Amino acid sequence: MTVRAVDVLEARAIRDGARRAIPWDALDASALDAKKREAVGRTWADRYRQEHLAVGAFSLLAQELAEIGCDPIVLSLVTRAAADEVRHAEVCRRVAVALLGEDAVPARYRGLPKVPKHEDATAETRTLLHVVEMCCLSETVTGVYFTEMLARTTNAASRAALESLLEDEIDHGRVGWAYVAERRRDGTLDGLAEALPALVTRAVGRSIDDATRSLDVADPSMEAFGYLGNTVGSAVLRRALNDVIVPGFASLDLDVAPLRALIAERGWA
Amino acid sequence: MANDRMFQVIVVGGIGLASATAMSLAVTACGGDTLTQGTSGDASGDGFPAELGAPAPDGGSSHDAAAEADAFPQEGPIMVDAGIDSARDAAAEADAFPQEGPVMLDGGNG
Repeated sequence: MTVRAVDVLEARAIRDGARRAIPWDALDASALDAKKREAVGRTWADRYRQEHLAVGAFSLLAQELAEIGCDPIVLSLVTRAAADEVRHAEVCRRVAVALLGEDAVPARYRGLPKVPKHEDATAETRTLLHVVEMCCLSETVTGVYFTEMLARTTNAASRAALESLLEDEIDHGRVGWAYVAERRRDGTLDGLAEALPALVTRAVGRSIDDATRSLDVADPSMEAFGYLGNTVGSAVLRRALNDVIVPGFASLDLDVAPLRALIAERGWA
Repeated sequence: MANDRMFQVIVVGGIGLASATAMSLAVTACGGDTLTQGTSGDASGDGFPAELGAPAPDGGSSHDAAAEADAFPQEGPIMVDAGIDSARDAAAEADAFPQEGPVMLDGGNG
């Protein structure tokens, strides 16, 4: 495997979705009927809430990582991610407002995600499990999902909004893999392989099950504004799990046999 | 983007980001000892850090703002009422790390 060292002082210049201008005036969804506009808008409104929760999640990771110590590039990206998510929340809010109207979307959110506490774990193991669940699973899946969504998005403003999010999400996933590689180097991955089935079930499996329960027909008119239906979404999640996440852990010499067995048993392949 | 490309971009790209990791693999390739790489010093301490490197001044003529504050300062708009302009609680339904990408609607697009 070829690797290239990235100095922490260079990291900020690598990516920054905030550099992208979004032509908000182009976000005219009047071509969609009310029902479809409502459906697309609801996904952006819910994504707005999730982006807000991600601010708290990355802040938690930053505190945990700072406490136990990690590579500076990991700490740099995780702390930056918290600020990225503030901007992402506002981007998603504005898309939701354009589709649903100002009155239908909260002006702001408060609150934190209720993340697994792993109370019996050491601080080192808890931090590892949190980084894996947030970055290697949720953010990696998000990167794959947004990539597929972008390929189907034709509205200029929606594309720019999505590109702005996606550019950062790639780094939010990468930092998880960077941290797991660091822990592998240090020989401190104990407990991760055993925990993977539960983490994957929570972070990816439930979404696959939710999507599979309500399959639909892809609608290009909705996809134009940044939308993936459940049938396409389910397929994207399965590919992300089987073609990116599982091979990722396998490449770091983790025993993924229990995870593969779970995937086969639950029909997530 | 093909899935193998996503694997390369996110997973391999992520592993390559960690400078210490790259250093470790390079050392390993040269037959060196990787165990000395990447150890962390303990920076723990009481109180918030003084990044200027000097202790904060005490006394003097400054008014103490802390006595009247019971939360982080609100530098911008002061929220005085409920409604759409006030903050909604995002936490009530959360039971895991947030999912920013996939949002699955119950009824599909119908």
